Amino acid sequence: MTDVMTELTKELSEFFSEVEMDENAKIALVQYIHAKFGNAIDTSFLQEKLRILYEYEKNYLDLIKEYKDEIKFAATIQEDLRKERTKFFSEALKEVSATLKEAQVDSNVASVWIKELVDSYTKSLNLSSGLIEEHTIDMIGEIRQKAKKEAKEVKEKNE
Amino acid sequence: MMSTLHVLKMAREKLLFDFTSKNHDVYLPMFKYENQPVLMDLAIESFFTSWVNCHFQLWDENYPHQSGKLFYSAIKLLIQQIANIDEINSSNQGFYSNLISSKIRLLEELIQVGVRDSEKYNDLLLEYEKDKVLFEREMNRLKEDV
Amino acid sequence: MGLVSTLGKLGDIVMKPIELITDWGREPLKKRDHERGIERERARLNAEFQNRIREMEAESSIRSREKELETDLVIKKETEIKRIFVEIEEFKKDKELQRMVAVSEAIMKYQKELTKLNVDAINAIGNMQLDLREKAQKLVYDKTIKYKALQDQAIKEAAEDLKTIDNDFHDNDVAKEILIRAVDKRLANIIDTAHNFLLELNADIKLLNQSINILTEHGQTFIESHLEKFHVIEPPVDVIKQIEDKNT
Repeated sequence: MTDVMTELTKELSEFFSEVEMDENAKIALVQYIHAKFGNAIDTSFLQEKLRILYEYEKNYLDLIKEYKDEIKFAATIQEDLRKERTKFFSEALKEVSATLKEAQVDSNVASVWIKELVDSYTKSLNLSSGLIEEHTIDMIGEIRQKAKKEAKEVKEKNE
Repeated sequence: MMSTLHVLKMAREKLLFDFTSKNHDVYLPMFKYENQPVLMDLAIESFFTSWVNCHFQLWDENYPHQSGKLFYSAIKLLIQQIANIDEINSSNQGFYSNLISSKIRLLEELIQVGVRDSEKYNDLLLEYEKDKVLFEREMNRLKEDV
Repeated sequence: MGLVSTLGKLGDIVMKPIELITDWGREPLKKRDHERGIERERARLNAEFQNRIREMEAESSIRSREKELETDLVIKKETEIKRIFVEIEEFKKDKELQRMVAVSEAIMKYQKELTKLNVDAINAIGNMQLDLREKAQKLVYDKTIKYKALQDQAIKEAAEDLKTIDNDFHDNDVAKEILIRAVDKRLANIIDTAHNFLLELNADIKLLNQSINILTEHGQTFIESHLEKFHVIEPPVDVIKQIEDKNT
């Protein structure tokens, strides 16, 4: 028996306790109501709950769908930056070193310049990474805010 | 934000290209100041400060009609870390760019002062070595006369 | 001519004032050198070097004076800007203006921006000037050490050559005369020329420092142009004129 039914039975009993009626007839009546309408009531309330739940979830899913593209996009940029960083250290630097050597730059001179190159390049990469991370965090914050707001609206609507 | 990321990436590509294409601004100092570490350091600082400055040009060329607010606040960090110039909390890009250009100009002037003196020094050294050689010759000549 | 009197003549040459901005006093003296003349000269040079250390200290106090003067200039500019602020405050009190809420807010925002700008900009410029001057100083120091090393080497080689001359041409006064004169000339050239080059270097750096100081003007121009950039309000000149017009 659901909470609703328990509640209903209780109220019926209270109601009938004030009615002048045969005790057995009372019990039979309550049982009849219980049997006849119990299921329907249970099902009805259950459906209602499911409907509300579905509404919550649908809104949340809509929200996710709305942001899906942005989320994917942000992830793509992050991935691109990671790739760029790897490429820099594995390919680009080698190419620079080779060019310097071929131009017969003194090796001590070359290493000072390369150090500054690495320093500046990574600072720029870090800056880019930082920007996209911040953007992603902001986005997640936005999603959470919206989800909270819409959950509240659904709740209010169904009260 | 996308435009800022784009400009940052373009600037990185330019930086690499300067090295792989044997750009004069990089390779000339490498040879000219090979034996003068003080001037070499100044040249390196001048080059990388210029690179930071070119971010502004790239923005103006590619996104002339966009508000530069986000871009500017992002670039401030690079200006501070690489060009060694303090943060200024305003939205005036022109000021910053001008200040950086002034710094580069003054660094270059300082380098030129150093180069002029190096040339004088080398001339003096040459003269001195020559005097020593002439002295040796004269000494030997006088010995032989005896 | 005896070796001693020759070295005495050497001493005359070395006596020429050497303005080197470096810490000569700390250089270890060459103890192996027992020639009385050379020792005497080294003592005399050492005294000169102590003078140079004092000069260096004087220079750094000059530099801190410079910074003081600069601060004075900053204060003068701040005073001017404060004057403009005061007049704007007066303008704000005007009843008509109070009704124009939007304009009032714009003025407040503009004042805030200007103050922030002012302090930040001046700081950034000041620090850049310091940085550039330090770099210039470092260059001078580096060059000075190089010239000093060259002079040291020249003196050492001159002393050796004089010894050689005395040994090899003991009884040939004519030859000795010729050779000593050559050494004399050679050493004098190094010392004179190095001295002059350092003077020229310092003159160049002075000019550069003037250019560096002009950066301060930069800040002033920027602030003035910024006053006009806030389009919601007319440039302060007009504001002041309005106040003046109202009072006539």
